[in-house]
Amino acid sequence: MTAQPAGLSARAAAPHQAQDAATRRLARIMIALTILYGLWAAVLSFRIVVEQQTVRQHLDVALRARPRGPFASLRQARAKARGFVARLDHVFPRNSCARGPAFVLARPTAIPHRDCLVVIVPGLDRLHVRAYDTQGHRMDNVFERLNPPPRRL
Amino acid sequence: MLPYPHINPVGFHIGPIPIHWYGLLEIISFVIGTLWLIRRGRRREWQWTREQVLDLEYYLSLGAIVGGRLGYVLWYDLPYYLGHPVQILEVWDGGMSFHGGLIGVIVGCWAYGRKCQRSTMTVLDFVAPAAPIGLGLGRLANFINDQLFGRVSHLPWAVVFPAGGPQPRQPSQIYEFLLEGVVLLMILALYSRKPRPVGAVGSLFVLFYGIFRFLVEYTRQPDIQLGFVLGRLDMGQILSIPMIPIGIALLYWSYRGGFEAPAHEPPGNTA
Repeated sequence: MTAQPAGLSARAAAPHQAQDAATRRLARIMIALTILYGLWAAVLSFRIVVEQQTVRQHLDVALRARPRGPFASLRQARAKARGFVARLDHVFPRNSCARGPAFVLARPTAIPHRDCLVVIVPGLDRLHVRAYDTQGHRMDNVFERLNPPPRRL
Repeated sequence: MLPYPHINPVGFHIGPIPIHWYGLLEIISFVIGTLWLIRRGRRREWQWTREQVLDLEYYLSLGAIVGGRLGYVLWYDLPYYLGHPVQILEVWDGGMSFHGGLIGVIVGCWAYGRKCQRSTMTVLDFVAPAAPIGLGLGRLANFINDQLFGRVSHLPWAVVFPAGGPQPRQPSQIYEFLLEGVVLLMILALYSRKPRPVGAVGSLFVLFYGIFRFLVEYTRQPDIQLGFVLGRLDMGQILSIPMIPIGIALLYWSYRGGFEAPAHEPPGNTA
């Protein structure tokens, strides 16, 4: 007589225990995925900060050291820009996040991959400097000048 | 284009001590949130005493500060802090991450739940509706402090932030105040007026915060040391993306009864 209620009770408790075990399993999966995702985000962030710091410093150097205009002709401006780019590429030979140089002389539209690139564009009044971040998006020179990077180069 | 209102970041002085709006708004949100939780705890389905709420606040504050700071260090500027580890402790210099703070708060809910024999999801459900008060007022404080502003924009309501240079920018702090503060508060307050399955309110917070933050980040200027991190996505979006599927999964699980409390828990833990 007593075995039957105990059996019923055990059967009634079984679904709850199964549910509890499933919830624990779900919690463990969620925690594991969150940790893995968080670690991936931290590694991504670390790499981006290091690369972005370098391109910010390249932009800072280019903005501070660019030859002053106005120039007599566009030809003269281009010659000045070419020499400037050659000097910069000699001092900073590596692009921080892509193959190729860190500085180029070109119209930005002519460059397919702009990641971490500083582009020098000759103009009659001055040499224009355009920098692109680790994802190839144009950086804001005004904002960068307001918040200059730590000078470590 | 709208002019920046130039509110003095220092609200007033108590003797020689300057009281900043930022700190003041955080204290106000803490007080309002606590009072609301005390009132909420009196409801029949919750039955939390005032002392229990204050005790819980201690766990949550500690979790939010430690988690928020570690999250910022880990996800926003790890190379710098590896070189300056002592500055990790200098929280007063700024640098907190919501996502780290959320993890810290969840750990706080777990720790407090263990102490008073309530499930983590029950504690999370209890506190979640009050969280947008602090989040919203924190964003207003960001606006007053001329920080965390938006991207350059030429919309009629764009603002020239003194710290952002001469270009008009999106007032993204106000968008965040409205979405993560006002709208999220309304959603959670209305939703939690009726008894819900265990875990549902907390899951809804995770889901909607993830959505709102992901969207608002499109108007916000990325942190200068990072810029964009993956195509057009910034770090705030990268960290918000998993909140959306996690929120949906938790909500689904809660409606399946997966977080229902065992029979020995105190009353009110199944609402």
